[in-house]
Amino acid sequence: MAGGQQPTDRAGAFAEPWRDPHQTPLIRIERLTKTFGDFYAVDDVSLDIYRGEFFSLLGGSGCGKTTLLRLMAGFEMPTEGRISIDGVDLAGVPPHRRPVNMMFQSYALFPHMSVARNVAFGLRQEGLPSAEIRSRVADALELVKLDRLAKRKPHQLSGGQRQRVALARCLVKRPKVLLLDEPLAALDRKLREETQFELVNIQEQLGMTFVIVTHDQGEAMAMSTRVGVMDEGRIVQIGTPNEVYEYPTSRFVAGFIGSINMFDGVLAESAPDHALVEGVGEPVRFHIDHGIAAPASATVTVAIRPEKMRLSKTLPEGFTEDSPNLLRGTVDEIAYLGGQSIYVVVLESGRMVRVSVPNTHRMTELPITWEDPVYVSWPAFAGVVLVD
Amino acid sequence: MAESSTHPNGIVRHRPARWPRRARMLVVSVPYLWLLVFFAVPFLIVLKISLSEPQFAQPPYAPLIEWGDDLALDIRLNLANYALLAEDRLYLVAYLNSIKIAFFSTLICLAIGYPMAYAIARANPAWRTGLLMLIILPFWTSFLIRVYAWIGILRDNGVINNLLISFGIIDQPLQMLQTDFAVYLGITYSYLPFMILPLFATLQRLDDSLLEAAADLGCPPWRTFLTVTLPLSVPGIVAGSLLVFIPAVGEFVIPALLGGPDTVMIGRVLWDEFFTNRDWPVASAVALVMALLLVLPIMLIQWLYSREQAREA
Repeated sequence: MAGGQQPTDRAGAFAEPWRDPHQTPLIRIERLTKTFGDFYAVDDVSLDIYRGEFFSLLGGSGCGKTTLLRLMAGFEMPTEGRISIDGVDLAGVPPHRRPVNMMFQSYALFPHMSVARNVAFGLRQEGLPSAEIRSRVADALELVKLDRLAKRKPHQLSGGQRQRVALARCLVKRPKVLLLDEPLAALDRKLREETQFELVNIQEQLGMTFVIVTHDQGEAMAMSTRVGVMDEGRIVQIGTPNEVYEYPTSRFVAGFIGSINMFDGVLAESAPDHALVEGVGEPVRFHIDHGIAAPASATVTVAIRPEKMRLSKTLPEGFTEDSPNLLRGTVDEIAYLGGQSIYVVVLESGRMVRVSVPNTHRMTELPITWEDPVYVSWPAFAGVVLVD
Repeated sequence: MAESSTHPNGIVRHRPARWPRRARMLVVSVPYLWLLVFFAVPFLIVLKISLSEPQFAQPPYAPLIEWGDDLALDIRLNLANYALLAEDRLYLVAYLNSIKIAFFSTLICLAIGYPMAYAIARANPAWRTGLLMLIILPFWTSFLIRVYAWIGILRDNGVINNLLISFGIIDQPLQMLQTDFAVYLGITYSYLPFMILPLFATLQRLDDSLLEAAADLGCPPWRTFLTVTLPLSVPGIVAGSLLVFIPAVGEFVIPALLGGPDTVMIGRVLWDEFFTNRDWPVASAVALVMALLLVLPIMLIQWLYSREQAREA
């Protein structure tokens, strides 16, 4: 077990092969397109995934993430482009000859076979000696802690147990790549969190490459080495969970992952070490601590995470009334979430800003409450400038 | 008509409206009444007739229960009809032949019906309804007329023979009518929809992801069929086979119209006993034994099946 720690960003512990130009990827997807009629389910996707990665395809429903996974498994044939694994082009290779295995969202367990028979199914297809099949099935069931339920039929298992059988059935084949289609979607919240850690542990223990499809950004952030965010058939950003969260490259990614405040602005000044953005529709200037690669007076969006903002009743230290990175408003809503509170501040222009405040002190009365006039401020590193 | 009750603390709780007891009894009793009038009573009448003695009278059998001269109740059970069934080889041969023909017809229906049901279940959903309609379409014409139509097709100067002769493939007509072949053909043709429909229902429910999972685990398509599709369609195979086999055993019209004098089936024997020999008691005994021969194995299968289910649960 991970000892109950929050695996916030696994990339740190991982050798980050995507940054090394000498590494060859395990899976190479080149200009892949899949159309159904005139609908582009996957639209010109190129993607490299490296050995030992836990790669998440993240997006809303209908964004093409499952189609991309099914293209890798061979259940769909690409309209254009190609997929190769370990240097072997998979064009025309039927699903049963591919070195990948898929865990289905519905689990797709064979209802007429016991747990052990389900897990043994893939090994029987390889024609292995029965003694080897038996020991490998036993190992796989032990790994997912189901060794005592080997004789049960799928309908006699709980949802969580079925999920483990489905996992064991794939793992036992020792595929080069394991594809997981929404593996946790059918579990309840608590079980889902536990299973996240277990999946990560199993993946690290076996050193396998996992490609997972999910619509749940928390899940993707917690488990992945890298995340590919998809929208309308395209991959809009690829990066470590940390990169996609802190350095989104588009309004879509910024808005899709976590919550964020976005302001329209015009680039007023750009130097190598800082930039100034004049707010549009809001009496505010944004001071950014790095340069922006855009022409002066370009329209931009400044995005700021709620937890990077500070809330105070008085002018914060080091600020004057006309400092940049400062807004005035009144508290409209407070959502107390235990570990933190979310404040919704309504500005003079009428727009809302979300600020999250960690509840570091134990208190029964909030120092800032409804209808209080407040200042919202943020440091120069907080703003992300998006040039669309 | 919602019943409501007042809770101690004044909350009025409404219960969903329920049928009054008598109305419920009425609804439940309809199927029982149906079974009583159209199955139990006729069955008992046939049982009674099978135990009586034939006589030239109206009705053509002696009463089973009579008030004797001295007002004593006089019951005469005649088991000779059943004894006859065992003694005369005709009946045994007819039973066995019926079962043989029904069995092989069922196999032929299964062999033809399975691929058809599979193809319909896998077809584009837009086509599926149309294809199913085609399967059901023959029912719009009377069964009897359809069997008669086969006479026109199979007889010596019928469609097939005329075609073959005009193409010069044969110069003497093939004898097809009044053969076992014609009986198999007729039964297969008539009962095929009863095989296809339950098979379709089972195969349509089959989850596509199971087939994908099998392929994903390295199973080639033909083996996926044998290890996944076929075992999971067993309920459809059993239902379809019973729907074909049971009526085929007692079939009368098809062997009478298409079969030859050698095609002895129990349905025809039954007919002969009733209408040619006017021996109602023997005919009733034949009918009863046939019913038992069919019902007992089915009950056995059902019992084994439910025991299997109970063991798994």
